[in-house]
Amino acid sequence: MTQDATAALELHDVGVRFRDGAGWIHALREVTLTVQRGEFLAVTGPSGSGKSTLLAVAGLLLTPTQGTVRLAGRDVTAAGSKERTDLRRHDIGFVFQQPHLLGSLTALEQLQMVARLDGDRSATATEHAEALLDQVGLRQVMHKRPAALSGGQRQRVGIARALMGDPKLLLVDEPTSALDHERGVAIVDLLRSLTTERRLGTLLVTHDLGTLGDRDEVAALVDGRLARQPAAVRAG
Amino acid sequence: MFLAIRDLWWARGRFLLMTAAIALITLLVVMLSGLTEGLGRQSTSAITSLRADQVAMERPASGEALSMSTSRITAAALAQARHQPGVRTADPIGISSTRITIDATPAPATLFGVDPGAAVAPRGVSAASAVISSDLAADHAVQVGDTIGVAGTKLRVARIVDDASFSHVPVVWVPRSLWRHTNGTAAGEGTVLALQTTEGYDAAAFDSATGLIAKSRSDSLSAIGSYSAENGSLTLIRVLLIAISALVIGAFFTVWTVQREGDLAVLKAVGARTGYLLRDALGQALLTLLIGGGAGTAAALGLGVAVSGQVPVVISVATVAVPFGLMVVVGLVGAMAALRRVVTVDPMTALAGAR
Repeated sequence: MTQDATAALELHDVGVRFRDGAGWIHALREVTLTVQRGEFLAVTGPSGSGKSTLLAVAGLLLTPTQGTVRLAGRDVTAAGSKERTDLRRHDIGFVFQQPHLLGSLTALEQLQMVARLDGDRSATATEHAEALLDQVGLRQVMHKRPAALSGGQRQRVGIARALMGDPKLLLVDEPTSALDHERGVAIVDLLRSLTTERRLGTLLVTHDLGTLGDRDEVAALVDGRLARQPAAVRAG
Repeated sequence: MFLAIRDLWWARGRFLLMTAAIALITLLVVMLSGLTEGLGRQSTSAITSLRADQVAMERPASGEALSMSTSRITAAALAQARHQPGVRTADPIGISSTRITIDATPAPATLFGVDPGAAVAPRGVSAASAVISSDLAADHAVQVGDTIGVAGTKLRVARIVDDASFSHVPVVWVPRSLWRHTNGTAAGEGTVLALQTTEGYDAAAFDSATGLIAKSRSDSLSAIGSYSAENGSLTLIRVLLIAISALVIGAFFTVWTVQREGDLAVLKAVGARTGYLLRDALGQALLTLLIGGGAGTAAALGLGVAVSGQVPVVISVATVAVPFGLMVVVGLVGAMAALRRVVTVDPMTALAGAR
């Protein structure tokens, strides 16, 4: 099998600043970061350190005020609104802190909805959705609505939904904050294995270092500046 | 509509309330439309069914409105009118309210005095016979050949016609000589002048030469006092109801969209185009309007049929389909105003730290 050597995400010298009264707030400063296909990278940092801004820039929800953003080798820094929307649908998967599932849809329909955003109503799309739900261990509950699922199950549906468009980059926003430790660890383990199996580039933002494995790469964000931290140092 | 239909079912309690509100407003609007048309016909049908394209009336005094109840056609005006270019026929009609007798029982009626054989006169009017409206005939079990009394004169009923009502009172067509006898010479040649015109007719020149004011048959209806007041009030109520329905629908979908803002942010974050979300939301509004409006219209139709014998309700395309269509269109406009939020929701808010 031919493997794509292009990085899933490359940020180079990225900065984001917002006007605040007469001055400026620098949410990100000179952030340079690469997430390779098959790489699982966690970013930690205190509240206000710029984690969500980093995810927003990587997810093409926010245009940086400086620097470049490359997605699967393509410079998308200056992409227009419509192009960004299409890129999010095809190349990026989002897993949110709260799974943000649509209350009226069953687990299977949550995934079918993503296909329908692309006009795909095919049986193949349904089979793909069923396979993904099977992969995250939810085949038995695929016809249940979110209210009938546990917190962990809902988060797994959210993960399966993020994979529905076969993305190259998976962006994960505090996925364990609403779960107990055991379920949190299980979710991170699942994300890690999916990253390897599907050759995703995964960027995970979390407060909860306890759910990470000792070998996971972790980068710290402090006041918008990024410092990658070797796993051994973190473990020590 | 994938999400819209599932949302409708999932939040069916809320949508049922909204649908019921739309149904009730539609019921009111359709019933009022039917009633407005019915009452309008009771006021005007004798004029709208005239074989004339223009109706001329006496010019009102300064500051007064044109009115059929105060109009008087003089012999001079009648003679002038008959000689105006483009006037093929000019027939005076004497209009007055009175009581006739049917089997010695008094009954209110509007006399329309016409010259037998005139273009405007219904067939059957003669010195000894009258034509009466079907409403009068039905109310008093009068048949063709029966006798009615008008100002002490016995007239045979020669014909019974539909659509002959004026100011909510059934019309009896009698010879103008009899009308003049009951109203005296002060009443002039008649109350209004029914004109049949051809090419070359000039309304301004006619008005100037005769001292009268001629209006098209439909425009002349505003000179029937009861009609303009009644029609204006009922139309205002209908307009207000439709405006209220737009506000109610707009308010509902505003609240509904605010409740969905989190979902919309997530959908946008995962790649939903704004156009897709708008189509889905508008489809949902349209479905709600069609179900609610359809139920209200069906109820109004049933009610209209049930009370049509007692209440002057007219069931027609104009009184049923048009108000229903208007409700749907105005409701969609209300929903569209609310759905601006779909456009403005920021997908960034799907991220925890951005909320």
